[in-house]
Amino acid sequence: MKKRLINLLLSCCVIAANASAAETINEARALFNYQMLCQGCHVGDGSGGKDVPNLNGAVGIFLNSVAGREYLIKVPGAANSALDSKELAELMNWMIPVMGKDSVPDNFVPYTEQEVARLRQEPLMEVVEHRANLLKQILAHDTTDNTTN
Amino acid sequence: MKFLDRIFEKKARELAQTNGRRGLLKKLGASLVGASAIPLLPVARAAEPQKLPQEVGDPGSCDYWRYCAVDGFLCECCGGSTNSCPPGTEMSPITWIGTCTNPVDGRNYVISYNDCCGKTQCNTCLCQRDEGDRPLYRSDKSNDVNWCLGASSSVYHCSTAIVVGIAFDK
Repeated sequence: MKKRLINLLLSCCVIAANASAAETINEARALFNYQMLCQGCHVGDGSGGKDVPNLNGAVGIFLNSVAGREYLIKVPGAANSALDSKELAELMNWMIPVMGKDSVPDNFVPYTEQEVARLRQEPLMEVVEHRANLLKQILAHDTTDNTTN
Repeated sequence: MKFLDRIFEKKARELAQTNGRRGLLKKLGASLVGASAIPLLPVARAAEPQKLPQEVGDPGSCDYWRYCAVDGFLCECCGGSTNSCPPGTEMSPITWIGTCTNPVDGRNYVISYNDCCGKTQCNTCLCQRDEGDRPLYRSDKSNDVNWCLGASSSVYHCSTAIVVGIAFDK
């Protein structure tokens, strides 16, 4: 019984260590990277402006579909940024809950460095049209869910 | 009413018998000193809003520290300031952002060069320092872009230099 308890405790420690390694966010660095590489267009609170999409209370909506999750990394501002994939993942994992607020689904899984590295190899060319289609699909899916419920 | 008087008198006497006046002063003094010491604790200091850097130099001169990457007319000379637009102009929310070193504390600060738009060029205090400026193919780091594209009028008047944060030391 004692041995089983020790094993259980050890496995919990390992799981916790893995989770923290994947999701460690240096907030000061993430904020600085946001200010240097995003804020110029998306502005300080993420609300955007003329022709610049609003992130504030909105960016999380894309996480309701796989294609939407991929879009957030493939969008040129992210995919072509000067950050390496580790810092880009950190920036996104910091920015999404801070700016996205209630729009972020409860089951949001943080991006990993490997996922970001894979997705940014295919940056989008036709961003505006792709974004509009994604939103249409996500909103249509939401409506279907609501009517079936 | 006499009933109330008796109750208050009794309670006051009980209080006076069990608690000395010096005891009250001691507790009051301790709580005052304690309350004044709380802001000295690191937790309280961390919660303070970010302080602006110490200032040195003339904001009307191109040498002023915040203008290390400026390219344009200084709003300071055009009826505005380093932080605000002159009357009759509109600040473009879309801008380019760089870092400059503050000579007082030696730290790098994040500077937002928001343009003021809607009136013809100010034509006073033209400065071009361009530190950290990148070619147009890195448009987010180029000061050759007319950033008034984010305002309702694209006519450029002058540039501000607003401190928006402290740079992260890598």
